Amino acid sequence: MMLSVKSKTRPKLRAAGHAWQFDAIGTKWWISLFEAIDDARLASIRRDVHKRIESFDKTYSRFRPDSLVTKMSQKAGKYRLPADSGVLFALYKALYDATDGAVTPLIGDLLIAAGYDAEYSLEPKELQTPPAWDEAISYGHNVLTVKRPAMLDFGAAGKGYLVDLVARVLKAHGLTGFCIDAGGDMLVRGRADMRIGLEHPDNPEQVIGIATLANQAIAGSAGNRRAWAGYHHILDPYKLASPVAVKAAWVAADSALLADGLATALFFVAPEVLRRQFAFEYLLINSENKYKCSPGFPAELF
Amino acid sequence: MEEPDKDHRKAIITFLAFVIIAVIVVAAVAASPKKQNASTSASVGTGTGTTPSSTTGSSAGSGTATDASFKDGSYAATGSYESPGGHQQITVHVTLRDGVITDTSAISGAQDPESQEYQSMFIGGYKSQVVGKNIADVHVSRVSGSSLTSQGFNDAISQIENQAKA
Repeated sequence: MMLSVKSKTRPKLRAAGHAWQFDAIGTKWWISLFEAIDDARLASIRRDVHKRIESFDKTYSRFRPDSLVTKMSQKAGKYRLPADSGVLFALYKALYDATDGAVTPLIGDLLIAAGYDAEYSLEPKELQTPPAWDEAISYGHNVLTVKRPAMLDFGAAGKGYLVDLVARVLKAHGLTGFCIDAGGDMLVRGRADMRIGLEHPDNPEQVIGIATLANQAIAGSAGNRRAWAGYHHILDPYKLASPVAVKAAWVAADSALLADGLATALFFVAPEVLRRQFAFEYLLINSENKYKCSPGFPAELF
Repeated sequence: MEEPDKDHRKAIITFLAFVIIAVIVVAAVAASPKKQNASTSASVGTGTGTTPSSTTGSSAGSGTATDASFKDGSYAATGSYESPGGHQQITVHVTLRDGVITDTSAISGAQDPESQEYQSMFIGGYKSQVVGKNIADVHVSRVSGSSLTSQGFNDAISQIENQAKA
């Protein structure tokens, strides 16, 4: 479905430009290009974007029976990964170390046991702490050695990374101004007047403030939507429960990968600790709906 | 084999980080004079192989190849540098095998030059409660929060709700 963005319906978007939306990797996408381009070029851009998403999904999605990570979950061995895996694994390892293993790609089997499986059964079974990184996997030179089969899950940062990779596709097509929104995790290039509402963690009809982004990424994480049977999509691998002290977290950073991964890490580790190692701005809402944010977080709160 | 002393190791790693950063800065500056170019996620020498061949690998590798007392493993270091866009910080991960760097990656983030309080890290604890306004009453282009879910997940949730009602 493609729609031309008209100034009447979206007053802050330029009349010249294109936006389209679609469902992929379990969320809703919306991509807006800030410049007018002809239909043939647009068709070619859209084709390349969808090809990129498909190849990422086929590698990293645990929700697909034909994906590489599904294959890895069945048999130990060495698996060749695409060239994009280096940055993804480096970020995951950095988050793993910074959170003492709370953010881990080895969380897949635990999420499945809690009911967040490919069929969305949402029926919790017996939960077990996943193995430590070094016990289960080692990564180097685009090869992942799976020492013991485990379902990997890239839910913490994969979506953000895919946003970055899609941005690369758009750049390769010569585009400099665009917004890529993957279910609320987004990257803006080339303008400063995108007003991003920050969803109220208790009420999706409301926002608690407005972020203004230019050449930046923002990602949010909250437990209110993907929630079932006392769990949400973030699980503490040691406590075998979803964290409750933080209700919602937003991170603004240069890349959507970093923003997405850190928004998850903030459910486990204080921002002051993470900011020693990563450059980002944040907004956190705790269980009492009180907030805390870094001075540079690019938003006005009500 | 002697356990390398921690400070010594730290110094070497910091050195490696700066070597890598220098390469990134040179590459970024060469690529474009615009400050934002230095700021996106970068992978440096990923997949270089066990024999250092790139500039990064050989600069860093020569520092360690002679010092076989380094234990194999992954090391991380955070470094800072000045760019035309201001102060930048970068975290570099280095994997050592047999004293040779086998993999490096960098996660960088440019600092907002307007943000002068970066080093203060921290602005106290949680403050007052958030206030919500209806989306219909404020002017926004997009909304960010918990990730929107796909139809599949929503269907599963409503099925469960229906079962619970039955």
